[in-house]
Amino acid sequence: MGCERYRKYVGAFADGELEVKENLEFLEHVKMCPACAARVDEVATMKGVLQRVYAKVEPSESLRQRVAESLGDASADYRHRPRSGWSVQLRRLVVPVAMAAALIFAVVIWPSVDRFRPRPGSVTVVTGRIVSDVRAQHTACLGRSGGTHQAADLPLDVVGISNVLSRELKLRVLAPDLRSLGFRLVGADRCGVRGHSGAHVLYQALKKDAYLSIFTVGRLPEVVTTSNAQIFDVFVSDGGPLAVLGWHSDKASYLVCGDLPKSELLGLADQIRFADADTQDPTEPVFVRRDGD
Amino acid sequence: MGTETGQGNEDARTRFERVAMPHFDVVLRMARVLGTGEAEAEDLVQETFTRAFSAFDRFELRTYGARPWLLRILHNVFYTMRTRAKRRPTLLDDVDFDHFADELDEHASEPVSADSVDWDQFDGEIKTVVAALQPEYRTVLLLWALEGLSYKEIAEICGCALGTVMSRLYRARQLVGRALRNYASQRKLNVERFN
Repeated sequence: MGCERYRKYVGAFADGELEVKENLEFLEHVKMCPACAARVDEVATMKGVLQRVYAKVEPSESLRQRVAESLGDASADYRHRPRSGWSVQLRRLVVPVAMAAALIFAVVIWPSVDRFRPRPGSVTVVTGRIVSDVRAQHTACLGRSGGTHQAADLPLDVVGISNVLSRELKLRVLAPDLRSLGFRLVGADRCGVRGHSGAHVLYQALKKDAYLSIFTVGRLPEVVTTSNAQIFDVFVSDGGPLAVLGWHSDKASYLVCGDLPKSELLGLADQIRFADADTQDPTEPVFVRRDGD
Repeated sequence: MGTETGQGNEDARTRFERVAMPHFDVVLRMARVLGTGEAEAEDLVQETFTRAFSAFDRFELRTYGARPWLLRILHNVFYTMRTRAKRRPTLLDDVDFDHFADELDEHASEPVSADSVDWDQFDGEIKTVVAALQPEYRTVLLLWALEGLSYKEIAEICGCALGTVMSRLYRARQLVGRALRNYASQRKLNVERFN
């Protein structure tokens, strides 16, 4: 069968935008069709090229100043914006009521709610470990799952890692960029788990000696077929809390490794998932690390 | 009352700077690609942030964050400016998503390799090709490539349907890919990858 009917899905597949059924269908096709696989590569390549060509630019101080001044003008306009009569009346009524409600909430309700609230600010990452320790930990952890570690020959940038793995695996692979969370990329090792190749992308917290490993792979079939389950598998070592969590987004599957209690890994997975999707409310803290134990 | 309002606005300004200003470089980069020169790009940036601040109390797109929100304002500002200048972009012949594969370039996967490429010239060629795209295509292409936005987010920013995003993106990638292959072909380059 010709591949014309699949070609319109090339871009959406490369971008991880296909629905599960279409994705599986395309995946089956692309395994047997080098031409479509090459087109998938081309899409990923073009993206990388455009990112390189249009690298971010540092705004000039004069432009920043100019915008700041215009914001100052807008702020003045805002302050002097006439308020309608009804809105003033409403404000007079609502503000005291809202303040009273807030006080009641703060004193009476909040303490009990807070107890059950997920605490994105209380995740502990592995502290005091050096890169080789964390890598050894990966080997011990994932090796039992059928994985094999190979040479660290991946480029040291998340786009590069994503491109290399996507090209090799003929799958969309996305290494998460955690710079906005206060981490920098310090290493990437190839690794396989359950026969699926991927890579450990190792991050170091900028403000302290803490390391975090994200295992990035393409879409794992078992993740796709159980798409309702965000966390699809957990491996726990015999003697301790060493665990691997996996989940998938629309674009890729991730595993997080660390000798953390499962509950904390779950919290961490949540945060990375949200960060990856870039859906967080920018007014809320995304990732605040607690000091190491 | 005046003091209270002033205090409230002071907070709004501070909050706006915390939420929106980290995306200054993103907005500037897109403005540079959309605009015809540095002056127009800076006008776009200024107008975008001014409008964003004015509308900050009605901040939309909370689901997606501040960046798509700012980019949508930039998009609107750009088209408003273009309309004012009576330089309306020409209407696009958007491709029907169900049929656009019919127009596929049969040479799409022709191999090319990176032996003796002058990369500065190559980058310049890419910029020329992208700049020659109609703004609707250019916007979608660069929102996809540079900002890593989902199709849904791009549709929100551009105010169009998801299928339109897909067809524009497809067409833009096709045009850029074709131009780059022509570039390689004219220089007798055997290029496997462009990065």
